[in-house]
Amino acid sequence: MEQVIAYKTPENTVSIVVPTGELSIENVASKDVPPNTPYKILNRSEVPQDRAFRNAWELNDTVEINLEKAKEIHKNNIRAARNPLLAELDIQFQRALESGSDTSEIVAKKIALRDATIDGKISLATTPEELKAAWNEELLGTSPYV
Amino acid sequence: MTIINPTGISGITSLTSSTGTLSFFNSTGGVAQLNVGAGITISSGGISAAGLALTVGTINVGTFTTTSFASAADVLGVTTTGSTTSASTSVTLSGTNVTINNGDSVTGLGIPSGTTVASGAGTVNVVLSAPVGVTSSLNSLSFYPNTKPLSAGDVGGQLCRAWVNFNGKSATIVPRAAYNVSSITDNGTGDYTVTFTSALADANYSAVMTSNAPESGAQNFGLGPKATGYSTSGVRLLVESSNGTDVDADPINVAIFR
Repeated sequence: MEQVIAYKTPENTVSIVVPTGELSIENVASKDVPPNTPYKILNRSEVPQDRAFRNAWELNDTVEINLEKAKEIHKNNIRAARNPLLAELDIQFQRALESGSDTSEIVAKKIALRDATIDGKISLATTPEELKAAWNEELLGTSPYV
Repeated sequence: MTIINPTGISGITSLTSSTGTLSFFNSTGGVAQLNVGAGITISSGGISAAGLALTVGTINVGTFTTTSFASAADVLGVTTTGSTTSASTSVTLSGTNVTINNGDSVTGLGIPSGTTVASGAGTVNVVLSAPVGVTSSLNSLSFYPNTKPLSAGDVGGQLCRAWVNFNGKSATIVPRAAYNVSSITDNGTGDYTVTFTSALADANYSAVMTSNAPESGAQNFGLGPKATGYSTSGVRLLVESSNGTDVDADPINVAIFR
C-alpha cells in the first residue's frame, strides 16, 4: 500500500502503521491504532526517507525530525562507539605505566574520545545531514550513518 | 445358522456363507482352530476371529479401494472468510455459498479438529458440528469434501496462526508477504508491532522470530518479543545489537503458533 497511518505516542514519538493489504487502510486505522488516539493517513513519501534518527521523529502536520532529539541520538551513537575504544586504551595505558613508557599519546586519545560528544559541530548542526557529517571517523571508526 | 460337519468336507478349496459368518466348533463345543491353506481365497468381508487361532497361508485379497487425502485442488472454490463467534456453532460466510455440502470438513482459526458442516449447505448461514473458539469477522475458513480425509498438513497448517516477512530497514517498513497480519507498526528504531487480522484466542502463543544480522559483520544481536509484547491482537518485538542499542533489520520473519 502507498499509504500509511501515523499517530503520536504518549512519549511524543511517532508510530507508523503499515497495512499489509489484508484489510483496507480505514479498517486498519480503526483496528490497529490505539483507542482514542488521533491519527493521520499519509503517503509514504511524506515520511522521512532516512531512518538514521528514527527515534527523533515527531508528528505535527507531517512527520518531522526533532533536531535536538537527533543530537542526543548522535551522542548516544558516539558513546556506543567509543566504549570499546576506551576500554582498549585503558589496557594500553596500564601496560605503559607498568613498563614506564610514555603515556601522553594514550591520554590524548582518551581525552579526545571523552570530548567527542561535546564537539562543536554537533551543537552547530542545523540539519540531520550536518549532524551525520559531524561523525569523526578518524577518532570513532566507521560512521553508523553510511 | 447353518452347521456344517467338518468331517464331511475334506478336500475343500473354498467356503462360502450367505449369512456372512462361518464358525467351526470342536467336539466339546469350543471354537476350533481354522487352518487356511495356500491357494484359499478370502475374497471380501474380512475375518472376524476374536479368540480364534488362525493359520494363514497365501491370502489372495480382492482390490482395496484407497482414498487419497484432500488436496489444494479440492479446497479451491470453497475457501472463504466467515464471521465466527466464540462458543457458537453458527458461521456467516462472505459471498455466495454454492459448493459446500453438509458433512464437509472445516478448518480455520479456532475450529476444533474434526469439525464438519452440520447444516446450512448451499447457504451463507452454516452451522458447524462443534462450537468455534474465536470471535472473528474475517476468519479464513476452508471446506473440504467429506469424501476425502484431511492430511496432517490440512489441519496442521492451521497451527501457524499468523506469519509475516518484512523489511524493517526501509524508510517506511515494507511487508513482503503475510497471513493473518493486518499491519506492522514501526514504533521506532528496531521496535515493531505485528498486528493480527483475526485476534487469537489468548496470548499464550509461540512467537518465532528470525532476522538477518542487522549490522554488517555483526556476530551477535538479539531479536525477540518485548516482555510485555504479547496480546491477543498482536506482538511487539525488538531488535538489539551487541552493544545494547536498538537497530533496524531486514528481513524480519515472524511466525505465530498456537
